Amino acid sequence: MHSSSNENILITAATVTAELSKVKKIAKEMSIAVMNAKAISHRAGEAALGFRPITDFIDEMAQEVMQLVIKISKEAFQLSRMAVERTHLMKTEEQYRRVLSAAKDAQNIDSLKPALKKIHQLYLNCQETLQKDIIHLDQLLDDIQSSTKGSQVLSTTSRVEASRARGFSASLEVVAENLERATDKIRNHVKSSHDKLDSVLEIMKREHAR
Amino acid sequence: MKVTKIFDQQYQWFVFGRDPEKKQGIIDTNQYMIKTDTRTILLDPGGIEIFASMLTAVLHYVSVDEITDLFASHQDPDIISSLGLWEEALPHAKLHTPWLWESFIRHFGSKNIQFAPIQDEGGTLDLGKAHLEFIPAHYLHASGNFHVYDPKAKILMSGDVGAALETEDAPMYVENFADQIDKMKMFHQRWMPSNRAKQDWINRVRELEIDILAPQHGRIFKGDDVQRFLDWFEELEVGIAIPSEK
Repeated sequence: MHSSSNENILITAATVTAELSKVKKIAKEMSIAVMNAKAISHRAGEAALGFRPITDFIDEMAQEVMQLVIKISKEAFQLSRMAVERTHLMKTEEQYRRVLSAAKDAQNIDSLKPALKKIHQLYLNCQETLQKDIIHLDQLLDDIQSSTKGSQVLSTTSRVEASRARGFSASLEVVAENLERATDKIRNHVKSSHDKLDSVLEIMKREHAR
Repeated sequence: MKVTKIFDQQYQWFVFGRDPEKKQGIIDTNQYMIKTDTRTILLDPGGIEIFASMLTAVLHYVSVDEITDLFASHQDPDIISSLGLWEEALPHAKLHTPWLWESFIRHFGSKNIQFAPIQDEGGTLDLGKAHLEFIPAHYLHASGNFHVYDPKAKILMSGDVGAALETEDAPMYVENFADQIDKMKMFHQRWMPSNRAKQDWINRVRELEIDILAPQHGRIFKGDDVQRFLDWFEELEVGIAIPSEK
């Protein structure tokens, strides 16, 4: 039976949730940094005019990432529930098959067969739902990556704009640097979650093919 | 698993126990089944670890469709942790259990089974030819606890009362009461917390006609050994593991 992939799904769901909580924290910090940047560029006046649309963009990105994280965390929790259900069905089926072989000569053995058939069908349904859920979760993680895609270009632009904000360029350069570091961290956490989900999916596919 | 018929008239009582396939370190348990021509109840059907052996043994006597009721005397895992496995085969069965433990027992993988909570004062269950009474045995040992009395068969399924820690090949019946005491003493002194609850139970049980006292662990008492047990238990001080009194 497939206990290895089940353990993997449970651990992966918990790990993805933990990784995403880090992402959420970073996105929150980004949002605060953006508020700070807005205040600086306001004080800088016309010299920092080019920096303002950048802060708006980053703020939007941070909000979007936070929303996605909330959604993904909920789905990761559902995934672990489904993995627990799969474990239960798997173990039940295993026990019923043991009875079926041990009680071959029992006069009422046939009465167990409909229940076994039902459990097996439930297990297959659960397996299918799990695969779909993992793929969907993967897509949501892709959405986070897409949201942060422009961040590298953006960090170059913000450095350029920061250098133009006479008298305020040092502060804005720090902001630009922090934003660059934050988006890098987000992308790394998301990539790590992605890789874990992909490896579970791979194990499930291999087991199904066996 | 060893199966012994302990009553056989218009309906039957069976005891299942001494499972040779049970893993080491797991306490041996007695599971009971009452089969009438229309209904079948499993009393304390056991833990996950013995589920396959128990169901295998049961199928020699009844089909899964004939099992209409389950009874759990209390919430311990050796009593009912197999619930989530049973209920996949018994979608229409009812579980009779102390109301106090319903939400705890649901932790044993239970999703669909219908609970029939037993109120503190006890209750009855009509199985057609057999009529059962749920006798309160609170604090013996669980704080919500029932035994099952069958007045026609004169059998009291007494849960942990009368239990003994035995070897796996022990006989199903007590053969020499004096020899049984050593196997029961520590179990009752340690697992039973209240002398008051014990005395209250003894007073009520002495009013019942009992030919067979059937515990969930160890051996079954019959005939004069039932009274011998009640006398011995009445004298025994329980709830002894209070550190400052040691």
